[in-house]
Amino acid sequence: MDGKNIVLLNGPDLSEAAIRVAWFALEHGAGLAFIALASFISNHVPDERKVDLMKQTEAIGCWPEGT
Amino acid sequence: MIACEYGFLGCNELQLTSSETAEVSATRERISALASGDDLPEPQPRTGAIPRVSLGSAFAWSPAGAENGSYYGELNKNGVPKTVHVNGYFRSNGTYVRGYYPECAWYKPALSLDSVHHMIVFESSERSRAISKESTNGMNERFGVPADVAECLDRGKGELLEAAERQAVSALAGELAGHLALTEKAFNLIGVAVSSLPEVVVRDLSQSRKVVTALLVRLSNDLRSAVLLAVRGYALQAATLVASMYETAYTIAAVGSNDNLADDWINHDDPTKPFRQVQDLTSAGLVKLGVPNADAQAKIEYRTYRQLCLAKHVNPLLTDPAWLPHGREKYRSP
Repeated sequence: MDGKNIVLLNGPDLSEAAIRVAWFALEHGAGLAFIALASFISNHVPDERKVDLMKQTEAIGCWPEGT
Repeated sequence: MIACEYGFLGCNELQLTSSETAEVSATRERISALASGDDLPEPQPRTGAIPRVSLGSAFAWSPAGAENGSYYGELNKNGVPKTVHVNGYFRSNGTYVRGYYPECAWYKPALSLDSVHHMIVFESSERSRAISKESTNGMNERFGVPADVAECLDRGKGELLEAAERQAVSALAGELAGHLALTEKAFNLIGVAVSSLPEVVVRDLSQSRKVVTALLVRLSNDLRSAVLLAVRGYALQAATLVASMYETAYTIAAVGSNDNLADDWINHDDPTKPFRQVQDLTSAGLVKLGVPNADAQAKIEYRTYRQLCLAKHVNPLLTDPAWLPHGREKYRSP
């Protein structure tokens, strides 16, 4: 805005604020997948697969090394 | 035969009869002459019926050169190759406008990404009036696009949406690298978990397994869609999807292996109310998961849901830096 015009932009938003919203959304998206998987595995997956899958599910909370 | 005449990829000349081959050659020569501009017809008053051409077929093929001499791949004034051909048409006064490659390829068949990413500017109407003078039946002749879009392109504020999104992907792939790896892992693991279920006949499937499996698949697709949106620069839209994921995840957790609750979900028939209040689903889900101090944790989780819903409900607070949620910056790639 320069006092005379109002400028809106459609299409991709690469602002710092948008990136923070993206971080927030994806981080919690993965967390929600964890909640859903933990429930699914404990209630419906056969016992012989449970341990292995739960281990992998817990790894969703672990980020790549060095970050 | 038409495929061969106009250079479609499906052309198989071996299947043509000799008369069809001759006809194809004649058509190609005619197109070539038109492209070179040697044999262009003078504008003629419109006579007789004009064959109806659907939008789809108008853009279904792109001859090497257009009737006005512009050609496929020719750079427009912004250095972007022209790729969309507009067929010739008659103006309302009966004169014929030759086919051409417009400066800005604004429209293409549905689902194409070659749309214009444009800045919308509300300002004095002087420029609008100038643009509208160049327009016939809502189409701007200079740009070959609808008048309202031409106004934006006239200011040099437009760019191809596909290019803008490509640029967003390259810029954000680094910013979101850790998040992309994590979500991909989650998406794949859901596939592994669902496929690890033993095969059973449908009548032996419990109601809870039916419901939570369907919801889990839905959740994984929502997660994937959120990633696709976020990495292309649509963070608010991604957050909106993740708010919906929250409801799915805690419905899965609350249903667990409870067939009665699953039945309730299946039979829910009130379009004005959710299956259960989200806050109640959160508490019930965390209790079933055996989370210590579930009530306190449910409050924390539900606060996250409300933040995600700022995007979903177009809440202006999301534009206030003080309210902007903070992702964990430690996951940001160096």
